[in-house]
Amino acid sequence: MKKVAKYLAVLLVMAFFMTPILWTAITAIKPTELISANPIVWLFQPTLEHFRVIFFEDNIAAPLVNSTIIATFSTIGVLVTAAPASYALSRFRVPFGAQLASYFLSARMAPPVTVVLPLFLIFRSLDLIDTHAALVAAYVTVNMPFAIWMIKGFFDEIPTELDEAALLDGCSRFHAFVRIVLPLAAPGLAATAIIAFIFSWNEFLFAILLTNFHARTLPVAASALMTDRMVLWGELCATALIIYLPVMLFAVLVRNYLIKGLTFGAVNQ
Amino acid sequence: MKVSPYSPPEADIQNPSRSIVLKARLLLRRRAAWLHPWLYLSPALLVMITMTVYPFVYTVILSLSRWNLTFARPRTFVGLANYQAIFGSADFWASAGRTFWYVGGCVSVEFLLGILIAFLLDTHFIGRNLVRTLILLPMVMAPVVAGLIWRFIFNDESGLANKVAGLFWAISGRAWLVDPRLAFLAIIVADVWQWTPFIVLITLAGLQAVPRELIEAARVDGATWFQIQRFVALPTIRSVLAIGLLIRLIDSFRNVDQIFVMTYGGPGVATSVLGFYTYIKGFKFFDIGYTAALGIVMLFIISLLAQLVISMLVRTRENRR
Repeated sequence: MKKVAKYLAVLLVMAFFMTPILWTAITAIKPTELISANPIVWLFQPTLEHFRVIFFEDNIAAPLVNSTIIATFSTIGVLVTAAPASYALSRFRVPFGAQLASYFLSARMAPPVTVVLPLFLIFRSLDLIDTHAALVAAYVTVNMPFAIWMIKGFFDEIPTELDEAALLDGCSRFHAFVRIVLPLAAPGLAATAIIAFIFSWNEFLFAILLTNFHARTLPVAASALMTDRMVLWGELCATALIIYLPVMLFAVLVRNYLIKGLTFGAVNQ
Repeated sequence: MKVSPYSPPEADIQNPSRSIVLKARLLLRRRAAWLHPWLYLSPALLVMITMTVYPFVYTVILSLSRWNLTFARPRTFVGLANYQAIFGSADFWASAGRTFWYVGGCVSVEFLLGILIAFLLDTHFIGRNLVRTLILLPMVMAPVVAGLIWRFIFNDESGLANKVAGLFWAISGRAWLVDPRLAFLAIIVADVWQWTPFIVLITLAGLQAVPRELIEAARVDGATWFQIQRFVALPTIRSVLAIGLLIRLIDSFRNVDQIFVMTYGGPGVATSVLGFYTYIKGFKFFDIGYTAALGIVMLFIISLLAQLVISMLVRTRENRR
């Protein structure tokens, strides 16, 4: 009896968290005339019509390419800036190191709506609005702090004796960093990169304010499907799936690191 | 001549044919050791200075000026007038009040539900690993996509919410996002759906660290399941929960994505929380000075919370060592 209650509770929890996702998937392949039907139509001939429309009529391919470019380059930027900084904070006695690390993190917590205003004005005066570079720069800034904290955690787990042995063998500091510490931290770096990619891929406020048409990303394109007159739910759900599916796969891949990333390395899963 | 990175520079120096680069490198290693960390930190510092320090100073200056992009008038210095206008504005206080209820509503429901679900998932049952993996999926959905999906669910004609509600109560066509109270509830539901899993997962992670002997000892002493969770498990995971609480407070305070697509602050201004209010002032009315001042006010509120969470993060790091 107790067991049955437990399984019912688990089922209820899963129903709440999974229904929106499943409902989106079902709607994306449902013929338009059945989407609003009451009662719900469960049996129908699945259709790829909504995907055809978003790719060939709404041209979702352009934002898809933009999102891929911007998320990829900003992730590279995050790694290139965060990894050496994490190494310095992990291995050297940096004056005001702790304050510096805290400062980095406080930048991550600033309200995006506050941060985007000066960036919007600066990029506007530099004529960088609606360019990929503007969003890449913004996302490197937003994601670097969490990456520094996360990667520093991985570096701290690698014994310093390894670097010191390499230094005694005549290896330079930089080589000890690149050839010894980085390879040992590779799984952690990969996880950090994937999480940074997810954050950039999902970001909306910077994207809608710093782009117009040329560099428009997927979340902005999705929000544009909703007009005042009507909402094309089928197309909307299809777009939602296009945005969500890659992230879903990534999330399952890095599931053991996700909480670490979201708590800046404080909580291990 | 190719120099092996593994050959000691001292040996290279003894050979007069070696380049000046190696001499410089040796000098750097001996004399300028203090410079080393800064070389590694320089890319990150460059990003921070150009992209956060400079924009912050710029925002402070803007917050002391009157400047509206929709008029061709130049920027003028007005001192603290923008701040006076903010604190004297009924709209601001109304929005601050809504933010309080929104953040409070989201975070308290997420914690209550999240901890209960974590206790449930901490027990043994078939499919436990699958459930623990599936439950992280809402967290990684783009907040704006989650907002769009919940808007679809709360739609009065074709939405799932009305269809499900219709199964239990004899109501139909309830206009969730049109009624101010229901719309406020709806944006909280969307946030609860997305972030309760976060609390579930950090609680589960914390529970793993609770010593088994402690639980066994309590059980031998005749403690009930509820007593064990309340008096043994919860106190041990308190610091993990505190960090989660602060992160959620900060993030729900900053959040505007879901509101942007679900209600656009409406109906009227019923769901216009501070983040959204700032957005409207800045990017609908282009009242730059006022928006910059609002941004500084929000930054001030958040930095109080951020200081707390950062000091806790530092402490957990030190404890682990």
